[in-house]
Amino acid sequence: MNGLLLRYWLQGRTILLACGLAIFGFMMLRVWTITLLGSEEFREIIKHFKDFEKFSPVPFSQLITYTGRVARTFNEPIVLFVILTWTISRGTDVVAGQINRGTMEMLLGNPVSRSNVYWGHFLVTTSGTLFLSFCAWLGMVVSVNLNSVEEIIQPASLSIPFTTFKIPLSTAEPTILHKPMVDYVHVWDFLPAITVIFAMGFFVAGFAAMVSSFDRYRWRTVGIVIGFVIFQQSLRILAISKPEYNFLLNFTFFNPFDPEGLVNVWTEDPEQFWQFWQYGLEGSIRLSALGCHSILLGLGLFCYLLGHWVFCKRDLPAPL
Amino acid sequence: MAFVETNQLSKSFGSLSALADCSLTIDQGTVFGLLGPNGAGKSTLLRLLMGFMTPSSGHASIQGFDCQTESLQVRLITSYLPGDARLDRQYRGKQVIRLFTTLRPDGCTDKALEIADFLELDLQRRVGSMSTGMRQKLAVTITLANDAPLIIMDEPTANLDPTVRQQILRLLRHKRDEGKTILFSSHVLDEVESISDTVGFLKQGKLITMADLSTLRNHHRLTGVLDNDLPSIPDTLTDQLVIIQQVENRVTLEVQGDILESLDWLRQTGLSEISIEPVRLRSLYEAIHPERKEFKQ
Repeated sequence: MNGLLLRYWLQGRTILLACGLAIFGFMMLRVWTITLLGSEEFREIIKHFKDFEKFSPVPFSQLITYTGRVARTFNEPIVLFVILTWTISRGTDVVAGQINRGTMEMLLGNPVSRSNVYWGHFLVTTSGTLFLSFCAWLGMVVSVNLNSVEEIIQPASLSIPFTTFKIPLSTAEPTILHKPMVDYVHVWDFLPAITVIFAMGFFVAGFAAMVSSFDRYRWRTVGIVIGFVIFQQSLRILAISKPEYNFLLNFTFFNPFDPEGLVNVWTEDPEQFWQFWQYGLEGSIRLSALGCHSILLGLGLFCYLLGHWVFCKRDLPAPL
Repeated sequence: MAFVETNQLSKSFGSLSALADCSLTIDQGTVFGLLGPNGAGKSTLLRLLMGFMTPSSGHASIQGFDCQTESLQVRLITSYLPGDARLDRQYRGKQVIRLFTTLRPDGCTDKALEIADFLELDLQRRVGSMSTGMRQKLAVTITLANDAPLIIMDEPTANLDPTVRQQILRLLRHKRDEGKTILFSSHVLDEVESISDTVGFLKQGKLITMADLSTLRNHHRLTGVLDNDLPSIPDTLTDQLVIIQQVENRVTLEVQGDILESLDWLRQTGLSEISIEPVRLRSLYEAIHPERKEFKQ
C-alpha cells in the first residue's frame, strides 16, 4: 500500500502544489481587495442591488460586514475552479485514467488488490482536497493578519426624526482610523466554510471516481463530470431565479455547498449550526451545517462505494 | 498436480468468441510457449489467468488458486509482463524500478538493477523519452526482478532488436534453470522452439494442439522421388512412419524416432533423391496456419 500511495502522491504532487499555491495566493489577494472598500462605502454600493438579494446566500445585512465579505471569498469561482481542477483530475484518473494510459495492467500484474488501487487513490485525493481547503483558509488568515482597514468616524451630527437629514454639529473633517483587519474578523469563524469546501470536493472526487470506474477513456470521463458540474450549476441558477423553480435546489449539490450561509449561521445563530435544517425569520427553511456536510459527504461516499464495487467486478480492457 | 490448469476456459465479447473451451495443463518447472496469429486468443488467455477478466465459462487455476476468485494469491506467485507494457512516462527508469519492486514482497531492487545493467538500459532517462525498445526492456527488467515461481509474459521480445532478444532468452533460460515455470506467447517461432518444453497452438480462440518439443526434435521429414507406387508400410514401421504427401512421383514422409530403421526400408523401395530435414515448429505452425492467399495488385 505504501508503494501505491507514494506512486499516487508522485503523480499528483505537481498539480496539488500548483493548486495549493493558486488558492492560497488568490485568497490573500481577494481578502486584501476587501480592505480597499470600507464597510460604509460598500453599504452604499450594495443598497442599489437590493433586488438581487435573492441571489445571495446570506442577507445583505450580513454581507456588508467584514465577516460576511470575507465569507463571500470562499464562494468565488476561482476557489471552486481550483478545487474542481484537483478533484476532477484525480477522481477521473483512478480507473479510466490508468486504463487509458495503459498503466493499470502493469500495476495489477503485481500482488495489489483492486481495492488497494482504488482506496489508495482515494486517500491521496481526499488528503489533497483537505490540503487545498486548508490552503484557502491559510491564505485568508495570512491576509487578515497582514492587512488593516479604514474606519471613518464622522463628526457629531443631529438626525431629524422621520427624515434622512442630518445637521452637522461640528465643522471638523471626518476622522480616518486604520485598524488591523483582525479586530473585525475572527479567522476561526470561517472553519465551516473550509469544511464545506472540503465536503464539496469530496463529493465531486467521489462522483468522478465513480464515472471513472465505468469508463476506459479518461477524456470521456472528464467530459461527463464537467458536464455534470455545469448542469448542476445551471439548476442552481434556475432554481434561485424564479420562486416556482425553487424545488430544483433539491437536485443540485451546489445547494448544500453554502460557505457564506454556514459562516452566517455559525456567527449569528450557533445553536442552529449543528442541526440538519435552519429556520429563518420569515419561515424559510434551509440546510444547516449537519445537512450540508452530511449530504455532500454521504453522496460522495456513496459514489466512492459504487465506483469501488463496479471496479472490482468489471473486466479490464487491454491498453488501447 | 499441474501448476497451471485451465478447464474449458472461454471468453466472449458479445458475439465475438475470443477464447473457446481452452483446456491445458502446464507442469511446474517447464516452459510453455503459446503460438498463434494476431487475434488467436493468446493475450486473452494470459489475461484470464491473471484475473483481469471474468471468463464467460470454464475455470482456470494456478498452483490450486482460482484465477478469478483468488486473483491476489495468483498474482503473489506470478510475475506478469503485459503484451503492451506501459509505464508512467514522467518517472525515470530507476524510480519506476523502485516503485514496482516495493509492490511485491519478493521484489528486489538490486536484482532489477543487475538485469537492467545486463540489458544495457539507461535508468537515468525518463520513461517518456525512452524508445519503444527501451521501455520494453524496462518492463522486462521489472517482471524478472522477483522470485515468483511462475512467469507469464505476453510477447516479451516484441519491439526488440535481435541482440536484446537473445539476452532476454538467456534471462528466461536462467529462470528456467532456477526451476521457475514460464508461460509466454510469441510470434517468433525460433525463440519459442529454443527454450520451450511444450507449445500450444491457438487459432481463432481455440487451442488446436499442444506439442512436446522434446518429441518434436526426434521428428524428421523425408522427401524423395519414386518411379513406382510406394508399397505399403510394414507393420514394424507403422508407428514411426507416416505418408504426408504423394504428388506425382514425389513422396513426403514423416519419421518419428530412429530414422535409420525407416531408411533401410525406404532404400528397398527404390526411393531416390532423398532429402531429410528435421520437423521444426514452423512445419507444425504452417500445417495449422496455412499461408494466406497471395496479394494481387
